[in-house]
Amino acid sequence: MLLHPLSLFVCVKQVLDPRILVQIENECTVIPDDIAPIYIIDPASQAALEIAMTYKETSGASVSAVTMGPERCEAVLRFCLARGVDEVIHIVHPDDASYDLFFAAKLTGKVIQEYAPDLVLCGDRSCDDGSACFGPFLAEMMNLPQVTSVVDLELIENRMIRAVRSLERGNREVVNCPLPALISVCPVQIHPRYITVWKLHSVNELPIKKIIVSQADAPAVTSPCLTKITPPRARPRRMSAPDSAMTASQRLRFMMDKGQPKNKASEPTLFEGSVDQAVDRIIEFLHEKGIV
Amino acid sequence: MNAVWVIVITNNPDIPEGSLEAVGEARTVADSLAWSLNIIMMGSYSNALSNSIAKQDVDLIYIVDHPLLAHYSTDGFVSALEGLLHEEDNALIMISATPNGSDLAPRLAARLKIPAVTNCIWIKVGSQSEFQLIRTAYQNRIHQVYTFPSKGRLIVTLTPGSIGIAPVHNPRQSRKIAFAPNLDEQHIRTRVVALMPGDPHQIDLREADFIVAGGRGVKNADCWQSLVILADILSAPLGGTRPMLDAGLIQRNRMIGQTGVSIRTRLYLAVGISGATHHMEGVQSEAIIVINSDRYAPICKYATLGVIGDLEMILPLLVSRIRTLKGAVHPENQLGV
Repeated sequence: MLLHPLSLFVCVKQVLDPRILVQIENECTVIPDDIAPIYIIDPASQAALEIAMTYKETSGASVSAVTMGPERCEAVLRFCLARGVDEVIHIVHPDDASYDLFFAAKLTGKVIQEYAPDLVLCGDRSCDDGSACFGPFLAEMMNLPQVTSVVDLELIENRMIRAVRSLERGNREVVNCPLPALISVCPVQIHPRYITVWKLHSVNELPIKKIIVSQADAPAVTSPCLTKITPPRARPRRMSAPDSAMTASQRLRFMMDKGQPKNKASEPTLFEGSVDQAVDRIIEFLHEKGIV
Repeated sequence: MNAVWVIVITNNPDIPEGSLEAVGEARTVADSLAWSLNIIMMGSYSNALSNSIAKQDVDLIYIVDHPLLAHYSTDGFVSALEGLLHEEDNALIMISATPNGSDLAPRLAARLKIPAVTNCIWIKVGSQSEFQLIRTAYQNRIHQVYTFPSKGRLIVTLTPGSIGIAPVHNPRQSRKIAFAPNLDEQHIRTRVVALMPGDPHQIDLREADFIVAGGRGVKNADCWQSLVILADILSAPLGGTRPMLDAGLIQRNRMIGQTGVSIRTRLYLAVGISGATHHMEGVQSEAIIVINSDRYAPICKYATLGVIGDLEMILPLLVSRIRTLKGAVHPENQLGV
């Protein structure tokens, strides 16, 4: 265990509730379909908050939370207070439009640096924009080592953390990282605890530190320009030309499957026989696939 | 020099499919702008896998080999790339959006002070030679179109599996250049200490490579229990269809299908599942083993291997046979650093 309590900082984000339907307005804005917008804390941010609060409970760490956005984002900070965070900071941006992530990371970094925390946590990929850029941007601005896609975290001796990262195909990677560091948390394995309504009400009067900024503070970075939002349209899969040796019907099927049959195996094999033979056949197949 | 760059992270012996997709997409973009296509191979298998990439239609391959790059580390990879990607070039830098690629791309963008657009599914070149980048957002419920002039540098990550691997039209032997980055062990702050398969009980079904699933055909508790044990000994996560969820046998996040989780696996073992459209809409698998009592079940059309028989007889025997075969092999020994 560590000899002195850690100071943790959680960056949280407010998002449109992913369970409500959305529609597109003026080609560039996403608005909720027919009902008033419902904003919630982003599940990935909530997972990061849960990890921080777990350490606060077990080792007495101090936890602060920060968010950036318009006035409505205060609700997310109230949620953090209800969860037991010690201090919350709201970087108020008067413009409701989305801002450049570099800008957000730079401002947030400046605020966090004053507190010199041991560990900065944030969500890995939010459920709205989902760019997964904020954490690495912030880590670079603050010159911290980063570990992303973290599903489990453990503090080990000598100011080190041991983080478990989620890789492709369900594999995991264990990474040691010295403190101070930035961790971005993936919500797959973390189950945040329920916060009672009573608790949510009890923090209504608690103070929130506000820092007001304007678009004029934005650094001059030539960012790609969002020109259009469309409903999802599947991109046609790449199609290789049908083989001339195929019959007409085979070619038609090839083209209808877009050159890449989705599920169908080339030759489905049905096996009917005794139980012993059936089991043998399955095991043989599993063996071919390297499972057994 | 104007170039499209593709960064290929090779930390295991298989060539990453997402990177091959990126190479195909990069070729199209490079052809539209008459730019060159350069590949940067990084990681412990960069030398071994460079031959497969060299057969693709690419101009140059940089092999960045260094003992400190044997395992992925943000600091090591970003420092190595910083030295390779020169400031004066117009460049489109593409990386497959794997967990490591998604870790590397934004950090590299911030280090080089250039913009990044992540999770793209399509990169087009517009009439003014500008890049049109289509990316998914709101959990794939919308597509965003970004434009960026083809002057300057831009980093893009491509969602693996969204494009498909392009056929190679002009295969040729590409020129390889070895690049030795100047790395200092002191500056690599993170260390990989272990690699292991995920716990099948905890991983998300969307992450899994091999899934065992049961449907309404698994009629009684004993049979279900055999299926649970089978999934356990095969170290596979267990999923199911809606009747299994309704019966309280699986959690909501373990229901596979149109209204549940969409899976993309190498092997799918479907036991007692009829294969209704709502289920199969959520299943994409390289191979499907079907165990079913009904030879006319729709799922049999999708089966790579279909076994028709009584589940109550087959499952317990399968469990005991696999258990004997597996013996003392522990799943955690399958991977290692």
